[in-house]
Amino acid sequence: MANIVTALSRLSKTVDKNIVVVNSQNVCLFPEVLPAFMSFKALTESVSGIYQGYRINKIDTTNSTFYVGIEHSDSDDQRLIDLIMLNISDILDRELTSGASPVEYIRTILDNARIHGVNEAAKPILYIKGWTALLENNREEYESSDLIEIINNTINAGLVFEYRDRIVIIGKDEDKISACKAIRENILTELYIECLIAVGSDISNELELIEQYDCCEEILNQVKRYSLGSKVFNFEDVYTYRIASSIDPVIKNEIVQKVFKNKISEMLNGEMETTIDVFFKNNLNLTDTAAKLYIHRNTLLYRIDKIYKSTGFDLRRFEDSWLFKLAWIISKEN
Amino acid sequence: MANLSLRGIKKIYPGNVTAVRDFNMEIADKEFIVLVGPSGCGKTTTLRMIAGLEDISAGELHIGDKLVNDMPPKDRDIAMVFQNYALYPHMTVYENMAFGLKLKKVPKTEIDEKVRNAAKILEIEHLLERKPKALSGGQRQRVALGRAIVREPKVFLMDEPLSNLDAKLRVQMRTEISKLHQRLQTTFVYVTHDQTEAMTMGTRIVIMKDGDIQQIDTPQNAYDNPANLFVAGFIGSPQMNVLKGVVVENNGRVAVKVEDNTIINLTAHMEKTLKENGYIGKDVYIGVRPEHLQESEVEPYASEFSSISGNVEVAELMGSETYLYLKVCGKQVIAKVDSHTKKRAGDNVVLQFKWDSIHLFDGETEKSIV
Ligand SMILES: Nc1ncnc2c1ncn2[C@@H]1O[C@H](COP(=O)(O)OP(=O)(O)OP(=O)(O)O)[C@@H](O)[C@H]1O
Ligand SMILES: [Mg+2]
Repeated sequence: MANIVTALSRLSKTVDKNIVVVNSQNVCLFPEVLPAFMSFKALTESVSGIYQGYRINKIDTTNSTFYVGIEHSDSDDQRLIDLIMLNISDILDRELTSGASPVEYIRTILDNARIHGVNEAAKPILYIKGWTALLENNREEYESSDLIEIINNTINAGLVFEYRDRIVIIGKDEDKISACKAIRENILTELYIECLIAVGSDISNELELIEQYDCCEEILNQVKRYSLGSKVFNFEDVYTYRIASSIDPVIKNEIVQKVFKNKISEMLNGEMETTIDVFFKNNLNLTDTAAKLYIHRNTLLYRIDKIYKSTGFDLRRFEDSWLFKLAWIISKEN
Repeated sequence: MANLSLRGIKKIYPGNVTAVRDFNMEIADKEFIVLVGPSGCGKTTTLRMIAGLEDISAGELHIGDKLVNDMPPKDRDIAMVFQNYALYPHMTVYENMAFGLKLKKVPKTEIDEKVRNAAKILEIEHLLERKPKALSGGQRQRVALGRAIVREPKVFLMDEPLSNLDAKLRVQMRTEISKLHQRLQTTFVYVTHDQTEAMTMGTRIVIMKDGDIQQIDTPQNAYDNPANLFVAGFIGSPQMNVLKGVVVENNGRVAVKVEDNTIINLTAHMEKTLKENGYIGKDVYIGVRPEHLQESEVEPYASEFSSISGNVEVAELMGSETYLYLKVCGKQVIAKVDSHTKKRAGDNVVLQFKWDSIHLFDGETEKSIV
């Protein structure tokens, strides 16, 4: 970004003309802010015309559209204008893609963000529309090109590329969760590999991509911390786990002690464990839980009563169940 | 040839959850095995261990004559079909089926042969040029099966592949998969929580509960001779009626007295078994399937028949038959009777059943007695 500003200001001085560059997302790349007498809307609608004394041109790149305003004077030589445009095009190209593909550019900014953090003053340049997801697989032996080919064929993919042993997906399908589930299924069917996929939110430029990449990474961390399995998760899915993991270790221990008293091993035999899990999954609904477990309602009540007798927590009461659930989550932390 | 041998297979998940305790089974080549049981009983875990997606905590798994415990899934000669079958939306049916082979760098002519062969088996040859969007749910499911078939695996593994289909399509695909099994002549291991699916599809079924095998048997045998009270209740719809009773000796005959003091007589063989095994005075469960309860206009103690009576709470007309729901000894009893029954809610009814339709289970262990 800094390079663009430096290069454009040098160019502007050399040809002695004011220059304005904005992108299709109403970000002004040069100068720092859009001159007060201009509006993004009017500027972008004036391509090939004159707007507020500026000749407006458009540059399309793979991932973004730029609008360039060059201060107009009647004595302008068309060849000069062409030369300036060529120069600007070159500057943008160099900065955005480092002469390589947009993927290389995105990898670089992800790297930079990892190393230096996201610069507060950074402006988004690329136009990347879609949602983000991060795919991780638990087996080492695979060809990432195979994975990428499957993904590209399964969803309406924007960009799919490998980054740090994971695959970054920018997809455009309306239902991102279904799309990611389909990816998972297809990879499993074709390659016998199970993947864990974290699904982030919609993005529209590279800064949001960095943000969502971090968000996906956080999802992956929580999924692994609580052994939630190799499936598709979004931020909401791990939200309670995130809260649980952020609790002070001393308090965590206190909660587990308070709820389970030393009876945790009693809870963790297969039958009880399944009962508790299914009961939570079925919204504390006795009928549904009993049906799923294929036990009589009274058997279920008996088990819940057993928990109450040994811990003092009655899972049918909201007050008790939420703390129990929290303790339950904490006790399963890796 | 793909026989499967599961010897002492055990799965303990992190956190010390035992999902499968001690799974022992020899599966012969070309069998259609169905794993069935309620949620959390360990069906998926077992299947995933066979597939190699889950480590085996203890025991040995052989496919063919190879020990495969540490073999990665792709080398196990298996194919999997799941509940959600994702297809490649922009590819034709042909390309969808060919894609996996293409990734494996199988020569084109070989791919073509395999895809056409699979299409023939699935009767979707006329759909090969269509895109998934232009297919019905059942056709899409068949393409998903086709993707597995082209791999020519030794074992097909399926985890509830039909559970996302609507009821009608599910019934239809049930027969399709059975037919497929006959045509392919390979081993199938199929997971479902639906006992009807298990009964109609499996050559043998494995009924599981809480990580333990309850019974391995043919569907007919599991239905006729359930090994325990759980299997008795799980297999068959509506469920087997079960009443608690105590074994009594009455006028030289051994019988079961249920809670409302009704005496239920038994076959000579049952009498002998109960007596010889010291059951006199002990609690037992007595079970009779709804289809074995018939409305009796005849005298209740006709030979070879016993009877119970109760008040009809609901009469459910099903068309070909009617379900009568009544309360006997405080327990719900269902009878599948002739659709022309005159009985309606509020009526008293006497239901008779043949002695040899009675099932007896130990009052403590819940295991089948006879
Ligand atoms: N990854 C895991 N980590 C810990 N426990 C697990 C894991 N997967 C399954 N379990 C537990 O193992 C037991 C068996 O689960 P499994 O998924 O095999 O059941 P299932 O018979 O397939 O049930 P359903 O009909 O619900 O699919 C359950 O108690 C379940 O909670
Ligand atoms: Mg399952």
